[in-house]
Amino acid sequence: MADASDAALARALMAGEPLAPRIAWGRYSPMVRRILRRSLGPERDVEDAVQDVFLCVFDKVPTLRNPAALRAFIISVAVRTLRYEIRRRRVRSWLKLSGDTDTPDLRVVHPDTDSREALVRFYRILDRINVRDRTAFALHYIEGMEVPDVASSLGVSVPTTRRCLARAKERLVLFAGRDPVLIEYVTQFERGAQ
Amino acid sequence: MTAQLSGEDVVKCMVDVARRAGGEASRRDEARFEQLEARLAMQGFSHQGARGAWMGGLAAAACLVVALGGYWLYTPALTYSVVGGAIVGDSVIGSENTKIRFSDGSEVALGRGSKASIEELTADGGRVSLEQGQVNVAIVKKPDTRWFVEAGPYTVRVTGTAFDVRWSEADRSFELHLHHGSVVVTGPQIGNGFTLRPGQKLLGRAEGRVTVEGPRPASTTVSGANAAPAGSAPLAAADRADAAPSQPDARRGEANNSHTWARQVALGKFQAVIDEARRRGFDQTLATASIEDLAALADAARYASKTDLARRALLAERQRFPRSNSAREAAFFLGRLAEERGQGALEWYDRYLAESPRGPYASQALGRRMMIYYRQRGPETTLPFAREYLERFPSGPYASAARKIVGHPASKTP
Repeated sequence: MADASDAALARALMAGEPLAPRIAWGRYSPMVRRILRRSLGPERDVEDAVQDVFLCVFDKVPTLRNPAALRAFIISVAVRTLRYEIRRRRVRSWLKLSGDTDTPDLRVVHPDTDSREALVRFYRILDRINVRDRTAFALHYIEGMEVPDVASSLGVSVPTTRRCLARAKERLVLFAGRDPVLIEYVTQFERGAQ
Repeated sequence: MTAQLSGEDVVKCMVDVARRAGGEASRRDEARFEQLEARLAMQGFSHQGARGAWMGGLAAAACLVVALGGYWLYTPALTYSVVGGAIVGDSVIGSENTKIRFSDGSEVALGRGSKASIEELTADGGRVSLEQGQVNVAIVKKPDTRWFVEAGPYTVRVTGTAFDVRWSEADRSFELHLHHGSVVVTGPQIGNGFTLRPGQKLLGRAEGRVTVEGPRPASTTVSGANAAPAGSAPLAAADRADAAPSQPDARRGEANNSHTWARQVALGKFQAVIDEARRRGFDQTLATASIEDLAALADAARYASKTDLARRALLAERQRFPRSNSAREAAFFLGRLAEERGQGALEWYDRYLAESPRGPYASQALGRRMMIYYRQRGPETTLPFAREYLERFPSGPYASAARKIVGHPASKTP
């Protein structure tokens, strides 16, 4: 079953075959983790969210109309989990419950502390953008998803997605261009690259 | 800070950094899968070998957390917004210029005092329930469009049309006036479906007669067992349905005389009925009111989301007037209330179906019962109910769901 197609794996999940969840996890948890981590940033431990995604996938896979669309289905669940996490973090921040977000994620594989600080500041700028625009930006520019796939994952049209991307980028450019830490970091980064 | 560095440069660089930062796969995947298994096990579920065992409390809770609708069918469902109206519970109450606008461009406009709810939304359409009053429906025609409008026991299947539909719960009267396009109407005395043409008006009356007014199509063919959007015929007897009158019903009989409470409910004055019952004393009212007043009070309480009062009034109908049609229909409405509470619905739907196997709500009771079984016990256990539904209502509102259950891999008998 490890080499089964997505459609076969989806049918195996629907049929409750014992090995199917482990296969699905092995095949897709890296992708889900990457999407969540790239979108949420380095400050958060995303493992609980990754598990939430798979719990939901296992619950709802019987309703999947096209078993071959398993990958897109999992991405869609991940995106919705992502949006929930972003909103949840905002509410906790408003209610001053955000202590855990200041604790660095020691498992992020990125030993360069300057880069980590720059990333933290970058994601905090992202947090200032509305949830949908922010999610669209992260999926397209950071995760590298094509615009139609982003639109499908968000449940909106392609033109709406393009508008979300344009708005997010405009605000990011405005805020990032005023952040001295980011500018200093990027300046040094580009000098080092030359 | 360099003068040559722009915000665009910063964003571009940080995007590259972010991509690299999140790209490493975890080396602890196996351990994390075991954590996932443990979370499931804590909720008393094991995925090992149990068919359908992945559905359960923790999984459902996780989905409740992330779900914004539309996961029942994976393709994203339509969304809607309400303009100019009040939302009470799950229902939209019409006032001036109240509209429900859907993301596919379709629109439902409510008349003043009318009450409607969105029962279901899918990627291809949805189901609107007209609980009282009148709506003007304009559905955008698209391939695979599947829209339904339910009004009492009547169901209108819509494929790309504009029409007005009116429903009076008090006198059990139904009117549909089709402006353009076509619709298929099912309901009491109509059988499996009647297709209306533009300009026609279908009238369903409490005494069981169904009439069609307006221009007749050029050709007629006998309608088949399954309703179809094209090729269906007018009713058999000229412009009047030669339908057998329905059983006498105390609720309907008195309502034809414009009973006060029934009339107030028809006008959308639900709270006024409830207030008057309160003034008289609820216990006193439930013990002494006529069947018409009890039925009107139950309806007013349901529409005003006073579920406890609604339940008491429906039970009083059954206890005090056990042989009436109202009492039998009360079993169905008690099932609806029980469904909202999350328990006891199956028993009430079974009771309604036993007492009124051909009643106006039989399709809904069978369908809702099927869906409860599916959610609670999975597709295999639900299979007989799905087959029964398809046998009796092949074009009913739950036919699509029933076909999915019948075709589900877990439903296949060895």
